[in-house]
Amino acid sequence: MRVWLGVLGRACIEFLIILLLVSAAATAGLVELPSLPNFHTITLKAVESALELLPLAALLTIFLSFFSFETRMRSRSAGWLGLLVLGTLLFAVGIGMRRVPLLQEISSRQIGGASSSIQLILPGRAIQKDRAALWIGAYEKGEAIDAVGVDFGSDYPRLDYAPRAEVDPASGELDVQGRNYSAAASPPSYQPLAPELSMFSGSWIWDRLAAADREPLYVAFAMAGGFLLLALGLRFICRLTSWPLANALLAAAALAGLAILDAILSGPAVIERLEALASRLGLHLGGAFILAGLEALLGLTLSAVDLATAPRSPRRIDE
Amino acid sequence: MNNGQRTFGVAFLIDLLAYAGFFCYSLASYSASRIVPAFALRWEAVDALSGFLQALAGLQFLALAVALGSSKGKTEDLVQVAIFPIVLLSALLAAFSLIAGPQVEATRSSILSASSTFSASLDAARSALASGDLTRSRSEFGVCQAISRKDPRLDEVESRLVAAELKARRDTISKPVQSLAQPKDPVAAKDYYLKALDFAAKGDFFGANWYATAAARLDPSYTDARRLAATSWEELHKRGADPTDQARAEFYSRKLEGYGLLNSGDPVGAYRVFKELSDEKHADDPDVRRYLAESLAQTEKAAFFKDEVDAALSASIVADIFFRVPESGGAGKSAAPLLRMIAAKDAAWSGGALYFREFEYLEAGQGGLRALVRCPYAKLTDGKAFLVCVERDRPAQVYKPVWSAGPSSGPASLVELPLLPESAFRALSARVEPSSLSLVQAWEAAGEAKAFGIDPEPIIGDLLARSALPFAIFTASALGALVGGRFRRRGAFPKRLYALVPPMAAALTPLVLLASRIDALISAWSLKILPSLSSLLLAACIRTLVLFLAVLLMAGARDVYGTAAD
Repeated sequence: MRVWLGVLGRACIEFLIILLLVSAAATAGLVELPSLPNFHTITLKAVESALELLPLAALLTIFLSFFSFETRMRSRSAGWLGLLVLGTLLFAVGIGMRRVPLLQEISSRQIGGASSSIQLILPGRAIQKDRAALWIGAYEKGEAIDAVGVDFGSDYPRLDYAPRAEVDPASGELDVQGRNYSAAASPPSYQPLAPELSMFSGSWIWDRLAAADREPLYVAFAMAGGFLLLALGLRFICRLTSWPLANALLAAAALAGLAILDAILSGPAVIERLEALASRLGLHLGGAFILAGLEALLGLTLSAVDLATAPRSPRRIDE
Repeated sequence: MNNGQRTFGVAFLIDLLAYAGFFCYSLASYSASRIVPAFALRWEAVDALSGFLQALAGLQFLALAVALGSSKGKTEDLVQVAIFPIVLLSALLAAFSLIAGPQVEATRSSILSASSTFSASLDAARSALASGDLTRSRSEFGVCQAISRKDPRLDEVESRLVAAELKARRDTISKPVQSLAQPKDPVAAKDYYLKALDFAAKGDFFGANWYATAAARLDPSYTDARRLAATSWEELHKRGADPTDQARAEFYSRKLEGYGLLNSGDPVGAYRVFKELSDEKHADDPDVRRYLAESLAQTEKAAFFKDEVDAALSASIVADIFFRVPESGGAGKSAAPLLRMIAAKDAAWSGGALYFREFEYLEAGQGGLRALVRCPYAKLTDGKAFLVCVERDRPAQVYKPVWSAGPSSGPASLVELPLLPESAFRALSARVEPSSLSLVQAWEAAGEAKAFGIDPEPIIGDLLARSALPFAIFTASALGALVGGRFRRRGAFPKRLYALVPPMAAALTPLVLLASRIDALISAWSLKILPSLSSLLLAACIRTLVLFLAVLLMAGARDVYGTAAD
């Protein structure tokens, strides 16, 4: 029991470190703001990121704890139970925190604020957007002085010049010798840490849990529970081969795979089919519950097979 | 083999296998429609090297993790023994990536652009041939030949083009009267007649005959001109020329025409005449030889040859050219600054000169537009942009500039520009493909960008990314050693477990992507805080801190299983 609690305590510390790192990385996304953010903005973003990415930090902690429980606990079922307790604790804290009124208010604030006026390209610098490049000598009373544009996508000749060209303050567009160019500066390019799920119609679990803030508490718990049980079902990966290094790397890939699988399953098309299937079976449940049930079932099956078939390791610290 | 040598050997083997893997991928994904077959092997080699360099940090992590993860002994001892090979290997790979990286990118982008130019020119040659524009078709075909002479796709176009050109020549020969017909021009005829009189007075009856004949051709009713042509011909006859030898007379006449053009400041026209004479079995004539060389030398001072452009296109090429010509040192302070902009479809660097296609030059001052010129080809060298381009083998084909405004000063065939071709090409490459420049060139280009009206941020961003790689390699090495030691297999290590390395490499991909995005954030923040070359220093400080933490973690590595029972 002492070892069991020790592993659990250590996992909680790991969780805090991971949450801190994940939030810091997400806060670094403020680089996309047009100007340097102040301390207040950074703090707000950090709190918002911590609340939003708490499920991700919990998931990472659970995967790390697979190895801790595996190397330190003799009883595999006690290890599984420990992981379940840990996961429940972390997800419950995450869901609960999101419902604290003060934190809800912070996360609903708009960080950075929408810019009221459009940012124009700096004078004296040629900027190319797609195939059209524009160079402006200076700005004077809403006009661009010495505007030179070239549209490489058009036929030769393609160089346009206007000594003065009026800049549309709303769009940043200007007419140079009959051709339309944009003087609006592009926002800084920033790649989010987790890639956009444009290829699937679903969304990440942390985004879905964040969106479930206005739903009743049991909906969020059902979603988190299903996901947690599916994650626990992948515990077998930490002993998939006899080389711990290979298992660690495969577990890292499985973690990414799990998040992607969950995102694919949460897509409207899949949910619609699951709902149709459930109604045929006489189950009139919402899509979130069906998905949670499916994930839980899959996770429990994998866990049961793992507990029933895996050989016991002869070397354990608690032996 | 001790653990240090083993670490080195395993890392080398994994790197080698990874390169082989990337090469196989390039081989499998090769497409002849994208890359010209002549470049296939070179493309596959550099494409594989490019992929290898991008994955180098991840590979280094995997290599050291595998090396230490399959070793015997205590973790702390293994890490201690592995420190020297880790540092040496990381330093070698970092140096290799910094030196080879830009060359790989430059070769890669030049193969890509040459292949795309080849495809575009081949399509243009085919469509021009179909529409009957044989000159354009031949010109585009020349570009294709310069890039890849032996490409089998050229054979079919060449045979059709040659047949079309033969047919066109036959049509021209069969209608001599139509083609020789000239419009009547009494004013020009008078000028020619006066020149003929002048030559006759000097005793130059060749000149007198040629100009008088030309005057009579321009105005058949001009009896004085016809008379002078006849008397000067008689004089030539008296001095030994045979008036019945029509071919010889024609030859003399053509020679004189070329000489006249050379004297009147039209070296391109003179070159055309002497080149034609040289091709018409008069290459042994000393006058033809002399004046061909002289007109060629003069042409090279005022124009350039199309084959120079074609040859350059097969070397380094940069597309989408748009930049400001920097102000020259003294002019900017005394006079009002001039705006001089250059745009072109692409530019190629060869033999110390910069060649442009679809060139456009604009000059504007306080009074508005001063000069605007467009020409199909231009050559920049020694502070001058030459705007007249000649086909060496078909000198009748001359590509001339069209001035919409100006020229503000100087001749219409060239523009004086205070611009070094080398620095211009560096700036252009930096705008479009900064990763193809060497570290020193990229550093220089970042400093010059503002003068060329180019945004320096992408160049600094590229320098930030490059400077990140050595740090990434060292950090990955330290973390790889840590993970390898931490997740080491106890007891004997069966060789069959090495078969797990490829899936391990694949499993590492999400982690490598995540690490590269975090690294990109460090670059982005450094550039945001210090938007200049100083951002390199800031990023280096942050990365050193991360490396220090990784080394600290590695140094503190201990066995989690307790003392190993190896």
